[in-house]
Amino acid sequence: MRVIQSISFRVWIIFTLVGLGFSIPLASYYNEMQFRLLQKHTQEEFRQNAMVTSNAVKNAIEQDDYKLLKNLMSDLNKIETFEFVAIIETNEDGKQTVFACNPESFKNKVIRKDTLSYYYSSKSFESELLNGEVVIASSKAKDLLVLKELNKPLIYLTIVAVLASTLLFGFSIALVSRPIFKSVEIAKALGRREYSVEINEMKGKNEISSLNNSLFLLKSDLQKFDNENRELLNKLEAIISNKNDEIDVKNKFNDLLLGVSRIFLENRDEDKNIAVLSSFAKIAGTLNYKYIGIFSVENNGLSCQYNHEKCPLFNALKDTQLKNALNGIKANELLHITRGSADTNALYQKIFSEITEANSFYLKLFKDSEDEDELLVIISERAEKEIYFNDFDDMINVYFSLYRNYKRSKSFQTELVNLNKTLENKVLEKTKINLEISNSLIAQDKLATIGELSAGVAHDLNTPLAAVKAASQNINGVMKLLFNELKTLSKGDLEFVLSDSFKRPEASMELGAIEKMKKSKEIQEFLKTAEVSIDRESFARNLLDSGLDVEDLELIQRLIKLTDPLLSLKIIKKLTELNLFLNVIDSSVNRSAQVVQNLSLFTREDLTQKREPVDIHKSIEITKALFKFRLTGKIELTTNIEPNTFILGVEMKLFQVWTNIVKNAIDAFEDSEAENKYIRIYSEIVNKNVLVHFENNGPMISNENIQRIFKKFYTTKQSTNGTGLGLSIVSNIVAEHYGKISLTSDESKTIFTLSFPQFNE
Amino acid sequence: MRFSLIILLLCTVFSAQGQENWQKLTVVANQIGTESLTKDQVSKVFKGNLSRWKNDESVTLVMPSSKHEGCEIMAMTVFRRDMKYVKKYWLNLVFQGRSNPPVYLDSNEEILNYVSKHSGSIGILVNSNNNSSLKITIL
Repeated sequence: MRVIQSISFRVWIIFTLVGLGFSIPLASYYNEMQFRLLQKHTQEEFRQNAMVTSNAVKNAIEQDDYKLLKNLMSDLNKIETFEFVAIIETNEDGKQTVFACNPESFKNKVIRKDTLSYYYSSKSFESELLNGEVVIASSKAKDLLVLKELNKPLIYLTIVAVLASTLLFGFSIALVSRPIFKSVEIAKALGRREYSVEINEMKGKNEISSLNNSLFLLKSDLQKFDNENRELLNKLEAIISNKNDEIDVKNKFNDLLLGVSRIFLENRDEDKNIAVLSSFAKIAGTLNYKYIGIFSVENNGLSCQYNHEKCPLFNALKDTQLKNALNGIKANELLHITRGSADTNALYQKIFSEITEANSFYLKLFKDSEDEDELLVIISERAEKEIYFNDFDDMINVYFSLYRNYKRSKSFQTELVNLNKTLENKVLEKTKINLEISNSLIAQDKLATIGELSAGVAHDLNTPLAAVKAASQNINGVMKLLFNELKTLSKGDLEFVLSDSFKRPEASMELGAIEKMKKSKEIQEFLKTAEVSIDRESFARNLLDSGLDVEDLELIQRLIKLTDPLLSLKIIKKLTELNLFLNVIDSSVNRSAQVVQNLSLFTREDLTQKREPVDIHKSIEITKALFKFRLTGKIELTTNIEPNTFILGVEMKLFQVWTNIVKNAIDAFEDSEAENKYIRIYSEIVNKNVLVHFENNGPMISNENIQRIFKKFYTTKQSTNGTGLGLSIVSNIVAEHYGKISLTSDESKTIFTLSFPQFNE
Repeated sequence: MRFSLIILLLCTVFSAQGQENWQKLTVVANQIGTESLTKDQVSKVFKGNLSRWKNDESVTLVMPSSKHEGCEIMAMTVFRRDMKYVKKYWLNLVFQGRSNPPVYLDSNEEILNYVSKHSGSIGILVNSNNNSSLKITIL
């Protein structure tokens, strides 16, 4: 692995790869060139051989000298790539035959040339014996063999080069890399202060030797330096060890002050007693390691707290035991205890023999310089054990400071509680006043509505009263006439008239003129048939005016038999009119009573404010009736509320809701020039909620006004017309009924939608 | 029958002619291990069928060249063909490496001189009255 990491290996790899990268294509190219040259050479050689052979054949024939030919054949056979040689004889007729072939076995391949395997070279000749050509074939395969042979030195050279580079690499590893790695190991060991590593001085002056010798010197220097350092360190440790206790106590004290301050700061908004207790525990915890007990005593003789859980001096002392021990002893008295005097020893024994088993202990008392109420007592098991009282003075001061803050905060807290109570009372009073003002405002709004409705109510009352007045005047007139006429009537006629006159129906009063004339003629015809000698026309008119008809035949027959039928009939007519006027008075009175009843429904005080099922249909119809006068001829108010649609609520308050919304709509129309002004009230049930819509085609309400329209004292009306309370009251009442109110408005219409939970019995 | 008779007659004629030609030839040799050869043996030797003598001497043939006056007689006697045939015959053999080529010399003297100097050589003289010790009896 280390070998692989070495530079020598990398250089070897790079050189080998680069060498192969260059040599393989170069060798391939060289091989190709060699082959081509060989081919060329072979072809040229055999071309010459063919020529020489041809001359030799010719010479043999002409000179009778076969020696040259024989030698030539012998030489040809020695050529490696030579395959065969032949003489092809051409006859007089041009036909070619193989005259001779060497070796004979190739005779068949002479004429049928195999150019894939052989190169053919030929030379023609002419002689007295025969004409033809000499053909020599050389083998391509043998050429390649020759090439191989030629390339062998190159391959051997390559192998030698690779072996040489590998050998070089081996030498490089052995002579350079290994010593350097070894030097690195030595340097690392020296870095770790491991001086056991062995380094021998080398004699050579090359780089490796220089490096090794440098390390050798470095080792000795480091060893020397380390020894000096160790000595210094030991001295330093000794100094540090000497100062250790002091630093430890200082650090602990600093930590304590920091801890106590943090506890107090973190608890600044809560009961400061927690901080005081925590700081006490912290102080006690710090003292524990020195076997010191700590407790505080207030001037009233009660112990505040002590660290009995951690300090072994107190063992399993209970609060009551400590209290018993300190019973009657006040902080001021305890402050004057000093060991040695007989008086104080007794007191000392009384207190502390109960709270500690130690025979000999050290006592230190601390008193708050700014507040004499508290005393802090510290007991040490061994008097000779020094306590850093200067530090503890500061610490105790912190404790007393905290305690003072605690007591101050307690007094602030009490003061704050009292202030809170006063504030609560004031808020309650203010709330009560506000409630009264609010109720007063609601009542004022209600009265304003009643004021606006009063004109309509007056009109509603005036009409029946006028009818009553007219009826009573008519009755008066009729009665005067009746008195005079009744005096002239006979007794029998009077009995008939009184018995039947009030039984007449009022139908004839409503007959049209044409029908009346028709019926009059029928009656006259009847009277003529009956041969009655009276003014038939007058009789017929009075009969009809009295509510009688030809069908009342029996009555007419009885009438005509009376002493004065015509007068009787006139009296009957007067009595019928009297009856009619009385009916008018009765109906007018009823109508007035209804108007008054409606108004009283709106105005009466519902002191119980009890929620009851309210029929929306009935409630809104009454509202519609109240606004009848204000709407006459100007605005069409239509309602479409399903009968028996109940919600749970206070009817009086709901009246106020309906009237305020309708009143607002009517007021809005004052500035509107719209034709066919209308207010439509209709309802629907959606998801067990009753939705009541108040739709009108009055002016559009802007988005800005929609946002503020339900706020108190907000009005778009002139200051004299609006209080700005109406819709605010509506909103509050709807909320009281667990309902919701919404408003949409565009140029064509404005819709208030009120949603209430449906009431089902 | 007649055709057979003609062939027989011709063979007889040629045989007689061949017999007459052999008389014109003198075969000389140098240390070939024998003193006499039959005509057939002579023909075989000069056709290259023998490469070594019985005494292990290699055979060297010495024949009249085309310039030799008696070359055609030699060809007709030994090869029973003309000189062209002989030359083509030997061209074929030498080209194919089947035999050592004969030595062609232009005169009887050159042939005799050559044979006398080369052991294992055998030569043919045409129309020579030489009775040298190299002469081989043709049986």
